Amino acid sequence: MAGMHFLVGISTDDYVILAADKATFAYGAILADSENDKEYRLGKKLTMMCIGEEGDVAQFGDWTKRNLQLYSVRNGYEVSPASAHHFVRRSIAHGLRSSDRYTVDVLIGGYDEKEEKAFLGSVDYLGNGLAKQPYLFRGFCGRFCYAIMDREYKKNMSEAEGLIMMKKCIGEAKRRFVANIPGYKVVIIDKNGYRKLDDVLF
Amino acid sequence: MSIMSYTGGTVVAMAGDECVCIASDLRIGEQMTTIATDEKKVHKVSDKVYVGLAGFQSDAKTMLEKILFRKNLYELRENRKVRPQILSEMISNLCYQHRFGSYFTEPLVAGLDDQNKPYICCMDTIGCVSAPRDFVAIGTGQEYLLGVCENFWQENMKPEELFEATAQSILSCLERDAASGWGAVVYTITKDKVNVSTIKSRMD
Repeated sequence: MAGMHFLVGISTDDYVILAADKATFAYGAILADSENDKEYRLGKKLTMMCIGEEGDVAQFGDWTKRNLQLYSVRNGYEVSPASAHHFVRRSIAHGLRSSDRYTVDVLIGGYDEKEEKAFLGSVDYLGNGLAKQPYLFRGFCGRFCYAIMDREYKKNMSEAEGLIMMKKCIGEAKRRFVANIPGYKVVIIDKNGYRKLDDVLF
Repeated sequence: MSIMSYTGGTVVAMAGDECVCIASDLRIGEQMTTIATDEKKVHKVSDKVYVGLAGFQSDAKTMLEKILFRKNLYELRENRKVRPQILSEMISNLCYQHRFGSYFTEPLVAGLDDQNKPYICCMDTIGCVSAPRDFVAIGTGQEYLLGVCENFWQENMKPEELFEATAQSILSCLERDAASGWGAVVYTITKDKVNVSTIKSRMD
């Protein structure tokens, strides 16, 4: 449960919405930056949001991004979201039992061209990985949001409904969580590709 | 809280007359919070050989990858399907190779051998095998299961009876164990087919 940060992921068969807070906290008490981008693009229709130990996030995010880039250059095609998820989980789990581990929690969202389905998965810093889930959260605020989504999630909801739900979750985090989270970056991936939406700001 | 009960989960297997049953719950959590409700802990390894992995989900996943890797190499090298007895020995070796930095998962093997004789076994995190003739249980709900299995299990059960006994046992375990739940999946392995059924339990 990566400290004060918050990641949201909501998906149906058609699309996946990912949101990440834009904060950098220092000493657990100070808001040091409100424009921190936690997103790492892993492919045309594949992205990863990453929170945890600041240095690890930057290092691991970049490492993953470039390794998958290398894969697509070598093989002439991009990895599927499920394969990317497997790679990330394996890397974290392997790192956990070595001298250099990455203390990061991630959400991976993408659109699988072969299966024609959106993908949402998570990996925590211990290497626990979940794939093909309807909604996932990382960070303390997720605890309020699972309850919201359990009640409100519908399998065939539209993009607009999905975004409303995402905002509901972020709103609950704003209402219940002590830290001042300045805003969230929001992206959506569907069969037509990747779009960055307007930030949710407070 | 121990790492063995961090994500939660239970697997049970029972042996009958030329059939075995293996069942697991579907919950994955982070301590007290439920994160997913569709994670099977039973995996098909070969035609009539299934493996259950309870304990820490991260290590269970890593372990499954390693098991499949070794089993594939075995089947290619020997040019025959793996028997459950062989597989349990392989897994036991794999576990013990990590004796001083073990994977926090308890494997369970259930299946029929080439004579269609049932075989079930479970082991601890370092690969100490116990292969009784009746039933085995691993995971957070182990204590609840062993007692109730004692009552449900009988000698030479047919597939239908065996399924009922296994399903009822895991259901009563899920009633008590807070770290497992959200329904269960039961595999009934007989000599000519494998029956998969998903059952509901208390969904909390």
